[in-house]
Amino acid sequence: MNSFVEKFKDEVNEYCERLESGLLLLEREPENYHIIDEIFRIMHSMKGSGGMFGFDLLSDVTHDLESLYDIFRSKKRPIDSEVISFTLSSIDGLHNLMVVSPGSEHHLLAENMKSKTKLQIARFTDEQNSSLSENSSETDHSVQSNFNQNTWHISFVPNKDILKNGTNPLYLIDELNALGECNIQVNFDELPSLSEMNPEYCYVSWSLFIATTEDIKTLRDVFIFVSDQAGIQIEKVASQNVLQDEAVLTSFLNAKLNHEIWEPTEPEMPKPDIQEDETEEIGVMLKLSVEIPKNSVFAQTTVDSIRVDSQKIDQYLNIVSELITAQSRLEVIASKLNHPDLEAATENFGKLSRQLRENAFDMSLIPLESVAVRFKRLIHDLSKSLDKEVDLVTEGMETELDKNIIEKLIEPLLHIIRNSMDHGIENRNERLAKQKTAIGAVLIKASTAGSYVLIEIEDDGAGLDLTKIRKKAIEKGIINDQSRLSDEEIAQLIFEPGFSTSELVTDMSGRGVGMDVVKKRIQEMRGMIELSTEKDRFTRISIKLPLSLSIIDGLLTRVGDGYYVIPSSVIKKIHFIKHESLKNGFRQVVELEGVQLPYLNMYDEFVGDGNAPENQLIIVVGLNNQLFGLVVDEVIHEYQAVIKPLGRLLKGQNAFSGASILGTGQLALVIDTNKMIKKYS
Amino acid sequence: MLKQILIVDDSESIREVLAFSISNAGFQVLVACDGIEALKYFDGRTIDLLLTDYHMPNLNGLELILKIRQIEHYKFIPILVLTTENQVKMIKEARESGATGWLTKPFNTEKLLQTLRKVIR
Repeated sequence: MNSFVEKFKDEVNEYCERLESGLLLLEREPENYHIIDEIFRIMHSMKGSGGMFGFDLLSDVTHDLESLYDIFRSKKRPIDSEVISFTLSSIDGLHNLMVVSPGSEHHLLAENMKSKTKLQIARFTDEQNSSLSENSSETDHSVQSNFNQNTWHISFVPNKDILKNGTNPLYLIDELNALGECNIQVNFDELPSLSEMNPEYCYVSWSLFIATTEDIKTLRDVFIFVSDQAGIQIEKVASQNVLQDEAVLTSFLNAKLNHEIWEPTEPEMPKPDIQEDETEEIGVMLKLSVEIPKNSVFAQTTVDSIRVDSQKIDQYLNIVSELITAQSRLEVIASKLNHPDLEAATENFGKLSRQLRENAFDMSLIPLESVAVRFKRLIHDLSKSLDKEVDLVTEGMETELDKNIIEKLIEPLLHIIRNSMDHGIENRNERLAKQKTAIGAVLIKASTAGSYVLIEIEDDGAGLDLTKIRKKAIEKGIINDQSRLSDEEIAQLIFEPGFSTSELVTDMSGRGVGMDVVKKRIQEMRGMIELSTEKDRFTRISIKLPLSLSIIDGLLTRVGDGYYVIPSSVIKKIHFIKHESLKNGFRQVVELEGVQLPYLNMYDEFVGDGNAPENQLIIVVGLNNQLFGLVVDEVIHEYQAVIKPLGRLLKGQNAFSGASILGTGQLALVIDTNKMIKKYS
Repeated sequence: MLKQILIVDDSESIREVLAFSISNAGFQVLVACDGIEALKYFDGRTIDLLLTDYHMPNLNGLELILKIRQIEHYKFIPILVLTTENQVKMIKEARESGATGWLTKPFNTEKLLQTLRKVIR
């Protein structure tokens, strides 16, 4: 059962993502009924399966949301941006309601969401309601004449801050009391001890039975002023006065506790409308659940796919890379034994395992699209809260990246976008004053280049304020006021640890991480980050990342009897060099093609017996406009390395990003050029 | 002591209708024609309910409510806003500003008193 629950949670997460992307699209195309349909269906599915897996609160809330979207789906009324915003804001709530044993805060949340949804529904049903409610009151009138009283159960859970609006909840209870015979229970469970109590808060809630001739609308009207500040649930218990019948009341409360549907006890009453709706909806739900969402508008990724635990994929990749290693070993043995049949078989095996690796590798790639919705959401939320209008333009979101990279990339990207929105994009008036378009633009562009992916985030905002940055950097002691820096160098200062441009730490950009952390994160993934900016025109941040964290293209080199892999992407040039010429070098700097180049003689560093070979090679690697030489004994060949993490004992070192097992069974260390340069230059 | 209700509306006729019905129902009535004038009444005296129009010159209903909720002494007094038809957005704004409830125009005496009873005794 637990695994079903886990699956269901995954499903809900996916639903929520689809909801988000759908809603954001809908904001632009409010007439798109495909999306409205889809949203309605998602709500419906969540409601249905939520109930099945015991997430009753989720199910309750989505029930109301579903009703809300039914209004738009049936084209009774057009959707508006308020509903879209409201639904977006509800999505977080839906996440929070995914708890198996909800506490009172969950109940409150659910009640709150429900009443808000009802408020939304009310907005759109007011007009028709007049006709609808006339109908229902008609039936109710007939009910009243036939059977004088109904018994209702009302749960009234005020929000803590209900008093703030000058509401006295007791008056509402009094009002109910005046409508019929009541059996009232007050719930003091939330009441804290006197020392913790805030006298401005309301901690009590009510649960009451009322036998009355009034209809449900009248009962609801009692709470009309507080429906957005309290959880209010009105349910029919029986179509007669059963206040004296303890058994019925108790079994009703039990049913409620067990989240069972309560069938109102009724002598010979027609079923109330709500129940009919319920059964009809279940029918629809069954039909929907077998329907394959072929016409799904914004969830192309889910069609024809199966869900696999990401851990399983990791395992699979791991096994495949072990297989590759075993296969290279086999190749070495086969060539030694020189047996033609064995060699042919090994060759074939090699071909297949390479295919298998590519395939496995492919499997762990996911498109950026899958997270793009979070960017859109962030921009949507921020443009509301910062009151800046911004259009998000995305390009190349189909670009695929290793899912591990994408996961690690989300936070840095969100941070960059936050910065753009917060500091980059100006508000409408400023923009107009600068003769720019009133609406700002943020562009997120991704593309593949070889085994790298390039991601650019560009905004057409104010650009970096270099004077301010310089001043700040001096204040923070990052540079001194004598430092002469080019504009470009000043811009780079924002990546320095301890630098934060925001003068007043705003809610957004001030979330603890600065651009230095962003840079660190990117570099940890063997990526690079660059920045360019022009005042009042743009700020662009470019990130270059490897396609995968587990495989890199590199150059296999030998130093003494150890093997080292240097990532191809950073290699600029390779020169022959005499060990002699290095010996005479001054402070580990050698002149090469007229350039002073700092270098590291790996033999001296890692072997260090003074017997370095006469003829060596110097590999020039470049990073962020900085060149560095790595001196090795021999370059063996290009090598696609499957990187394995180093063990615990080697955790403290900071020159290698991992190790790779060669076909011969020997180990090659993969050099982290970033760290290496930092350490030795 | 009679409970005191402050009525704020820029329309004289509405003020009079309200004052008439409300004082007949046994309340003491104060009147003001806009938010600025209304604010003058919040000088420490007891006001048991504020009934204010939404659209008014000088200081509108919402601004008035926001100001009153900032005065410690009147932080929790019930406030009703007068609205025309069911303006959901306005009602929402009013609630967010601190209004207790609303009264939809047109109303008859019965509706008025029924609404008053929700927030004052």
